[in-house]
Amino acid sequence: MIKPLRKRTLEGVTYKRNVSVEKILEELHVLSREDVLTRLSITNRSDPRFVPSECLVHLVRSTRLDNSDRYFRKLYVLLMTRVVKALPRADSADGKTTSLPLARIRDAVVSKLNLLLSSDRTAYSEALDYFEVRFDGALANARKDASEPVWRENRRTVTLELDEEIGAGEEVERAMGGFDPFAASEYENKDYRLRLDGAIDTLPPEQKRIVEMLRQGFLIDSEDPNVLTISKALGKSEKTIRTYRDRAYDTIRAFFARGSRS
Amino acid sequence: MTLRPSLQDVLSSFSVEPDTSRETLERYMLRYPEYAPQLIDLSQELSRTLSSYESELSQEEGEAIEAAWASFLDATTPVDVFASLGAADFSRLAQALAIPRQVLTAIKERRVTLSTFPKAFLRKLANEIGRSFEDVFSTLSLPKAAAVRSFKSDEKPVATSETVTFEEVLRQAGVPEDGLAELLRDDE
Repeated sequence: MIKPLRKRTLEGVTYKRNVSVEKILEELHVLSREDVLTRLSITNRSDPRFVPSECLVHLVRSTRLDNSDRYFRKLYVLLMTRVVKALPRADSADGKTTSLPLARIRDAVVSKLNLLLSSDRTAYSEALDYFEVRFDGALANARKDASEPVWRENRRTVTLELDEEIGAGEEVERAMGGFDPFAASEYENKDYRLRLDGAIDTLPPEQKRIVEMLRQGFLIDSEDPNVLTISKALGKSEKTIRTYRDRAYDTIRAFFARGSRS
Repeated sequence: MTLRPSLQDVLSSFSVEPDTSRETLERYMLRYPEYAPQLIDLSQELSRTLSSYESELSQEEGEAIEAAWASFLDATTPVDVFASLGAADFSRLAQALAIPRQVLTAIKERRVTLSTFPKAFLRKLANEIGRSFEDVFSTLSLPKAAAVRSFKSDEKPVATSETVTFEEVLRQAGVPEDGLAELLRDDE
């Protein structure tokens, strides 16, 4: 019997694992440790025997009271390997250069997870329940926390963000040539999207938020007061939003033109 | 008035939503407008293209995982405040605490129920060995030590199976009534 989670939702209901996660956990429960490790070594997500990371987190947690340190270490390394692989890679494809900000983000996420796992060994850590509900989401949340200070510091040396509201007279409407990184024909290409993620990472927060809202299909402005617009959500004028958007797209275009991830 | 959930609770909740499309983001932003910027930041993180698990780890990544394991071990290896005490320290400590040596052995082997110690006694013990009260407390919270002693003992074991109360262990070791009262006295 797989023990239920304890963390409660904002509405006060106890979180539940995905049905498929529970099913795989039950399957694993009757296997030998060796067979469990064999299943966990499958890295192809579309393989029917692939074990989702939610299950791996559960296995690591349920081994906490177990006396087999060797088995625990193997599970731990498998989990951390997945964590590291799920983060933007700090090494360039040719392995010759390392992005310091990305390496720092990776280390911060790993250390955060380490903290949760070690405190879970002595007393149940509800924060880890999120990783059993939706591993990729919980990891994205940890990555967001880890990223903010790193990019802030990185930007300080690269660019300055214009924080003040931009008045009508100051605005320079650029001819964007219809550039939209999300409508590009390459958008279906995984490498393009990975590079686009990398370009967006370098943007100042406000620009990044505008780009994300545009990606999600929010309108910049609307006559209809019931529509949640970018302008409304971020509390900035329509002109400011447009100017920030143009700057962001300029940066993204330049990033692609440079052909570098730095 | 109900308490507003914290930023971290709202973000954690959003992060595990089965669907983090625009509708969900909008619902969260309308419900928690004060957290809108952070929700958008998280939405962007969630939209990131997933890397494949099939790629090989670089040497640097492998080293980062090994370093993480080392610090995990550091954080989870419990401190045993008795580990560094030699036989001579042990005798001196028993004397300082005015308890028979076999009682101290029983304490060290965690054969005494933690909740039955007077706090004053634990504080004195911590003070004598130059450790914090918390370290002593967490040592005694560890699972019962294995039956094998770390050094040879010529004493008769006080108890062998389940844990006993502090008072019981003192009585079994023949501590006289006045000494007993002194040892069981708590300052709170």
